[in-house]
Amino acid sequence: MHPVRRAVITGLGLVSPLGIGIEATLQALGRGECAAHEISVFDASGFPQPCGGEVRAFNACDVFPAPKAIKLTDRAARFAVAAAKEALMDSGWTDGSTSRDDLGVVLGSSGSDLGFPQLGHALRGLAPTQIEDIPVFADRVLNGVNPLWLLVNLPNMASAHVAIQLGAKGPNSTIMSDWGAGLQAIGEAYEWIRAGDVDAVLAGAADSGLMPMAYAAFEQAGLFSTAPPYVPGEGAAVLLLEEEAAARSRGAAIRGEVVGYASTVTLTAHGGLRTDALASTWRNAVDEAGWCADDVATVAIATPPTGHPNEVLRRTFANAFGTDAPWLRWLTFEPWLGHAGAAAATIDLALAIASPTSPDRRGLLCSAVSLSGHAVTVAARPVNARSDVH
Amino acid sequence: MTANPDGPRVESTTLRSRVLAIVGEALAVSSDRLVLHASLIDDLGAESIDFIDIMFRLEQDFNIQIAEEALWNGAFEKTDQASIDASAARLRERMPEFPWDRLPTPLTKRDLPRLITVQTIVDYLEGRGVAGGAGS
Repeated sequence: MHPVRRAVITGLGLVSPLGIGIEATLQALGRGECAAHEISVFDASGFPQPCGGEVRAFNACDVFPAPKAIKLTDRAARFAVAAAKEALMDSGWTDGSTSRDDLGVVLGSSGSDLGFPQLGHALRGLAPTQIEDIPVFADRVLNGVNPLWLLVNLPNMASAHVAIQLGAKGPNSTIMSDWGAGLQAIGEAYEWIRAGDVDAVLAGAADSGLMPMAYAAFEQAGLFSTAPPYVPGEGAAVLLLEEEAAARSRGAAIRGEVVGYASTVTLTAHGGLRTDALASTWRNAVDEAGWCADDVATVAIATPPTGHPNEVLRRTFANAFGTDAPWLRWLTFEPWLGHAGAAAATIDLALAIASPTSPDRRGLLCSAVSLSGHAVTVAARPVNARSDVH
Repeated sequence: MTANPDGPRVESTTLRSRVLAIVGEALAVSSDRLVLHASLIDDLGAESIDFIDIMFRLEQDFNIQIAEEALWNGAFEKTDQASIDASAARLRERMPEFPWDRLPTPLTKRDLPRLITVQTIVDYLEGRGVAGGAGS
């Protein structure tokens, strides 16, 4: 029987609208700051909800040694490289200390607007019927869109740029399960380590909802009409997960451990919502962790505003585990950061792991529910003392 | 190559400035490194993907179409060895500041991309009739 391989968290990296880095973000949250303001990345004044959680004071030149590489990146890719770099530094994995030949990367993304402003400029003046005329469309795009456009806008480029900039030559993948993608990436990294495929993985998500097409989609979905209205955001959170023995052999401090992972689809065949779906991911993640309901101290959840207020979540937990769980703390950082799409839940997880107010050594369930119907849950165990793990 | 009847007639100093700006943006290099005789590859770190980017920017800025082989050949219209030798000799006179000693002798077609400088791009555009009047 093979020994069980454990996936410990040895590094955390974060880019948020309240700060570049975990500590900067925690300090801003501690001061009660809120990132939701009128955004500047594009003119959103025509939308009923023009605010968002925008990452400001971020200089990509601080992250990319060769500035020329920046033209091949979008905002999400730049955030991803910054967060991954911080995670490696946080883990003590400095240049030359340990080979990165087998270091894996798996990031989640909810997609891209495919460089809509550039496409729109190339197609300007065309009537809708002309856009559907393939030769006309192709001529405009081939002659009016920079050939590098595709490299910038493919959603898997964030994982690629992290690997290129950090020299991570191990397995590389991108998950695109909408707002559940970040947690799913962490879950997949956990599975890679447990299966013995890799000893170290940079896992998380980078995303930006601050795009004209995204705002149009949010408005069309009615998210700007809810009370309170949905506040799009952006950012990145990357965790360094390592096989426990490998992490200890290089002297890494353990920040926590991923102990369970489950996902499902929350929609019925007819598009209705399965109210038991989220609960099933909680039960499965708790079972995999070897926990019971009493071991769950905190539930962090990133969820669309159309459902799942806290009272509904509490009832769902009670139905799932047969206990009201009065000790449970419900956690989300979205009211202060905005909702960073695929990165929202991973930001919640990273901040929960790093927060000096993490209550105890009992576990944390971190969940994401997406508009596309995905529900993903990761069970993690934070440690308060950096040298302590159970 | 014929002059572009629809393209703008651009004064030489402006043409040089615009090409410098395009190359500087595409390669993200500071203005102190942007000299007319700097090799895009050897001095400014250009890679093949950057040439595609520069070519697009030139096409958009000057409203012209550039054939890909024309870009890679720089200011060399013909690439048989005799033509390369003759063109290289003319280029040596025109760009004495260029570090010719770092290139092999004789030059081959494979070495031509290393000769692409801001000046060779300006020369190419002037040859296309983008610049007004004689070269500077």
